[in-house]
Amino acid sequence: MAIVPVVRGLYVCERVDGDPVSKNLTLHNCFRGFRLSALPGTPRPFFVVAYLANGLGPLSIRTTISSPITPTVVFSHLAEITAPDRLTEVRFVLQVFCRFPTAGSYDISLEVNGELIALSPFRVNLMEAREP
Amino acid sequence: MTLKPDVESFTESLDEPLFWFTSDENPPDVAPRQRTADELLAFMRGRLKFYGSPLPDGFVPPPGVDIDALLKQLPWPPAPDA
Repeated sequence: MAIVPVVRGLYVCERVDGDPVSKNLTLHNCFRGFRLSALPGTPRPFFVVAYLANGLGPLSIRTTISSPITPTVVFSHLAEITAPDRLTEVRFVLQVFCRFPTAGSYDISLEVNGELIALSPFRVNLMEAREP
Repeated sequence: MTLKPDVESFTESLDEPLFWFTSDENPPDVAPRQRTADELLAFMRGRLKFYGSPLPDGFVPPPGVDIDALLKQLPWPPAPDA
């Protein structure tokens, strides 16, 4: 039987380094929004990182980026993992390639086995044009 | 008192499982899509859980979806305290 975990942390960051020896993660430049020079636009790939605890068994993790207003889905990714036991924290890292259609508010959400376990607001702005 | 490190220290290694994924760099379709009614119901349940209300200010319902019918499936508005 699968048990849906809780999220100890959901982070969005520019880069993740995994130490090959210690296996510890270093998250660089955690952020909550982008400024893009043009829209629609595809920014540099970024990372969604989640620390999951108290889960057990096979877990389907759906990561979605959507506009809460319209409501439009601009990114969706499904990953299958297995949590070995409830006392072991599981680290989930997803490198995201995503195209944003418009400026505005977005939600990054994490669903596990169909249940929403984390929701984080995220903003995309259009960079102001520079004077020539 | 100033606490200056005067011993060697090392961080412990994490033995927890690490699952690393990369989304498709060349997805077949990058066009935004509207949520279906079922997805919208799940979305509203999630918003209720995290934000306390099923829909954000300025929400624009997608065409062909009966928002009122979906709202009736949620404990919303909350019942007044007895």
